[in-house]
Amino acid sequence: MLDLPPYVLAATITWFVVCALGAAVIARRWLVQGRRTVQPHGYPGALLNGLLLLAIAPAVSLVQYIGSAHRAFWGGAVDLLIAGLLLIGYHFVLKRRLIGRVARSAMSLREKTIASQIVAILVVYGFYGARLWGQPLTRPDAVGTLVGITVWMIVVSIVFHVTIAAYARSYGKLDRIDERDRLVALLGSRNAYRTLAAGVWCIVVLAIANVPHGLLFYAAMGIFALAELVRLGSELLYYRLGA
Amino acid sequence: MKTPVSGTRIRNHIRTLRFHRGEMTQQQLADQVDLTRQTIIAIEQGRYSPSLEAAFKIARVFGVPLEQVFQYED
Repeated sequence: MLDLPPYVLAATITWFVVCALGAAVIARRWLVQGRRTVQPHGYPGALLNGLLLLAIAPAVSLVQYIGSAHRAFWGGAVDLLIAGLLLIGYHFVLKRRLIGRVARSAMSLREKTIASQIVAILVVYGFYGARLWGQPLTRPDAVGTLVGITVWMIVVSIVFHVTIAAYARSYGKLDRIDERDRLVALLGSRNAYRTLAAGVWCIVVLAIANVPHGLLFYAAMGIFALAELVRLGSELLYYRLGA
Repeated sequence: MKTPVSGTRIRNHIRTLRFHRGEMTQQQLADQVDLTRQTIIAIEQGRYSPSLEAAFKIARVFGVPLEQVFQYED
């Protein structure tokens, strides 16, 4: 018998249900629609689900770790396993041409900008995460982290933008947006909202479990970074694969 | 008329129509219909289905009815 608090079991079961529903939607597309599965939002389904699972797996692990007397991380590991299966499934579908051909082309200026923002978040948040991981958080640390992340994000973003602009032939056209850009931005924000909402619930669970304030701070910052990564990653995928 | 493989159910003949309009460039078409060149590329490759307004604008540029530019595949 697993010695787990009820909320951990509930969160894990809920997550499995969500995964199962996602898998059922994908399976339906395969079985019912077959080769006619060429709807605009259909084919990135497995990929997006896999990526979202990957994104939230650490939060699930954290809840598992806090709630488990054995200090285990298996909750996130199961999520990673399911995410891996979804991504392999996506690769299989792509390879078997069940979803219509997806044209590949060089990255546009906007796509490069989004990719640079992803790299900036990974570098800055990764640096502060690695530096502060496992250490007790004091108030000066928290303030320093907030200021540091803000300043370094601005600095790294400027460096990337200047580098991209230096090699771009038409950087001024980046200001021009049309209906497709607005649609991609809306879809990206929707995915980020879902991640943020799931993260907020994780933080609420952690707060109810009376975890130290420092850990809540890290969790909040991590969830915020994840939501941003999901937004930017989604936008990049929609630009590359279609929206 | 051969149509390109499409990622959506909406097929289009924009590439062919551009050719018949004296090799109109994607940028020229984008400027006339108030879209970006990347969006024109995405529409041609079937990665994006334009709004009704944009579709009518594109058809008007080529001077043909909408159904000669876009077809819905059953």
